[in-house]
Amino acid sequence: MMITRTHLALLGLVALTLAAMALPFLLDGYWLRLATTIAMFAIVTCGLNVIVGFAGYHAFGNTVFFGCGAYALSIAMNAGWSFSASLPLALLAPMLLAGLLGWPLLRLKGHYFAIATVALNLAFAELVTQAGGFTGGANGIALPLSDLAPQIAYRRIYWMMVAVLAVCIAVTWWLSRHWLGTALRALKDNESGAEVMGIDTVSAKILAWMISAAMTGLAGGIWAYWITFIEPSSAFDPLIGVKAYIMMLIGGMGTIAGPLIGALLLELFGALIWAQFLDLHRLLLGCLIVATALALPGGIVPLVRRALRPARPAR
Amino acid sequence: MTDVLTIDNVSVNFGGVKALSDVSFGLRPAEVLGLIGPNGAGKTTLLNTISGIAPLAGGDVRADGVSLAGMRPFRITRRGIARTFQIVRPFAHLTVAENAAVGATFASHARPSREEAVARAFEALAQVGLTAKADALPHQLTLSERKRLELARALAMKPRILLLDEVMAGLNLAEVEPIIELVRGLARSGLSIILVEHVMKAVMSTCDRIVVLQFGRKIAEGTPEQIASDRNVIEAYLGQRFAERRAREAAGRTA
Repeated sequence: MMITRTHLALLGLVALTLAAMALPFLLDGYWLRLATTIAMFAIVTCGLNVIVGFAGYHAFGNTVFFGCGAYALSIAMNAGWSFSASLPLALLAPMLLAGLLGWPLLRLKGHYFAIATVALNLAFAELVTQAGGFTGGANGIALPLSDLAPQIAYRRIYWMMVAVLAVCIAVTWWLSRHWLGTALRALKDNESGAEVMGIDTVSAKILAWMISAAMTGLAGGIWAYWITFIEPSSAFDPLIGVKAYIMMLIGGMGTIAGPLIGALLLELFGALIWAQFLDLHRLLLGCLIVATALALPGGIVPLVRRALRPARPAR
Repeated sequence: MTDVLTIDNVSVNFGGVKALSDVSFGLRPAEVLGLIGPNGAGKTTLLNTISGIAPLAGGDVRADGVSLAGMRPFRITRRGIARTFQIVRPFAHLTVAENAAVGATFASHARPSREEAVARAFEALAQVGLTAKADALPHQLTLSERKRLELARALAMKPRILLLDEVMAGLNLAEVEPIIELVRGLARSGLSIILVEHVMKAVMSTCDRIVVLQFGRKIAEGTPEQIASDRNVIEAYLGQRFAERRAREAAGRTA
């Protein structure tokens, strides 16, 4: 069998995953926590990338799936389910939500859709707060503690995040060559044109949002298990979505490696530089969004791609 | 011969404006049917109605006896009805070959493999003479090339019925000629084609029959010869006075 670029890319992903898996043996508590956060945000950004980068639907409120996954796992675990039995719920519940709500919401175009998703996130936070009972309401939910020693538990959580991230990157790669990815890129450019070319645009959009929700929800589920206590304001924190957005923009919308690169850069910057400017953190974040949008509208990945491969002369 | 596409008393409204009123005609197998008329006559609207973009206010459109009314556009396309747009709208971020491959991939219920879709895309690009530009992005193409890409995208769908909305408008005569040849060849190979066009040379030399629309109504239908001497058509294009003069001249010749 010939070795193609595909094989090399897969090999690279496996090697990178294994290298990332070895990190806990080198890092102590703080840096492992940072690495886990990077992987978590990379997953959330991967999820955002599917609906925004591929389909062009700006789901500003995608955090709703993060919270939904976190709550699904927490409620199940408090009902006596094991972690491994609960984790699939963190994937299925958000996916179902996206499937059901995608039908009406994805009919909205442009900023109407974006605003609707923001409202959806706020509505869910409120719903969970008001529901009380098994959601814990405004008091939040504490999760059953693991029997494992903290270091071991944190390592496992980190490994889980990295494994899920690897799967998400693989799914994004698969999407980029699958007909669904082509359909999404086509409808991003021109939705009615895509429909006339025989693309079932409604189903394609809903599928994309379901994949996006599954990724985001898994990150939320593992996150809940990691921090062992969740409340509406932390699980449905809109800032999660905002950060993922910046990461996606920095890395490169609609690219495969973009989410990972964006998450890596932003979180590392955050840890190394912004820790020095605690008060100005948000201001700097805002400036970075503006600077990225102005200077790097396509993100880093397309920039690197252009640098590596000189432009074909267009005859 | 039964029609492959039946336009049956079609009416379309845009708000209070009647864009089409009670238009009826049939498209026969392997024929090129010209659809002409002054600007705003409803030609593009009719194509939009056939492809499911503009909803019917009355009447019906049937393909092989199946009503297309209320059907989503992608389902109509998958019944073998492909179209081009007057204002070309290729997918800007996909290459020329990818643009054509989209047509090949999605236009049937049985989705072809990637390799087959690409092969069909290149076949279509060869038909319109765009093979050399396969890797270019749409914005790098000239108008003529973009029009041909639009055609290639439709051809890659392997349609039975092809709706062409001004694929020759804005091109010079040298560029029009190969497209006329192509359209004729497609009809010979069994495709049924509706050709909306302003380039009269193309319409007269390509079409088997012509339907003329004016203000949303059908005012004439017939062979190119019949249409060229039809009083209503001359009136619509050149004004009433000119039509009267032509009629007097014709009467004088026969007298």
